[in-house]
Amino acid sequence: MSEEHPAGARQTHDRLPAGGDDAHAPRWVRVFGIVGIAVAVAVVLILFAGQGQHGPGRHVPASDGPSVERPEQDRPGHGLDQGGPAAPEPHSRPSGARE
Amino acid sequence: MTMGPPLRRLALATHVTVSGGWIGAVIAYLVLDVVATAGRTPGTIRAAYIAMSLIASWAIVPLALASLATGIGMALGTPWGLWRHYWIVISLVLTSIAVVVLLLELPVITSLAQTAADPGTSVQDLRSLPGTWVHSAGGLLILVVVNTLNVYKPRGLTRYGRKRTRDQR
Repeated sequence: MSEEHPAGARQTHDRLPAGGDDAHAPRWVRVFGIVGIAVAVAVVLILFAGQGQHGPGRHVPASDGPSVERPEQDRPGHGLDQGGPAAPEPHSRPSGARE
Repeated sequence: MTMGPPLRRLALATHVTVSGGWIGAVIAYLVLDVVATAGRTPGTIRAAYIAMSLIASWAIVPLALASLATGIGMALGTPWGLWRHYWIVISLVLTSIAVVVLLLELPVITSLAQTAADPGTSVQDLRSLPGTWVHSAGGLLILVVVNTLNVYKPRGLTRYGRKRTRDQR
């Protein structure tokens, strides 16, 4: 929002143009509309392609365990946490254990 | 009702503050979202999800609602109006979409944080928790677009705005 208003002396660009282009929406509005429609169509297509898997319930883990939406192999090989090597998992065998 | 200059400046300062805070909070959330998704250390992943929930509940949602409310108040309380200029209408629509998606996503974020905070959640399950970065990145993009619109205020009167302008002449 603005501290100025359309009737303000320094805000002249909001006055009606002297030409006849006030009968149609400005070009930037049409571009916005086209982009908005394209994005909306893309979102709808993604929703249909996901067969209803999109939405809040998609992220919520199931009662018998979390949803496996992100396969382990897809995860990057290094962490962003920079906390050194990942902690060993509880069920993993210690590296020094004998066979 | 048109606000007087002192009240208008106060409303503008409030609107700019909460809107800028909203963008900053989303950026902080997005950083945590990426860390929660790509992190490897269990403690970091747990902390990231919990912090995401706290930021969403106590910073992003209040700031988003305040930004929407102060924006509408600014439009209605000044000669700009709410439906006269395309940039205001588009800003209102985009902000409303962002707020609705945020409110729909909030239970998901809370659920993820509860799962991450649960000591019974195994490391493997913890690492398989999804992120919400698509929504947060999309939300940030919308906020940047709205902010740009509000700064540049591109010209263009709506049909209603043209009619009101003609009537006032």
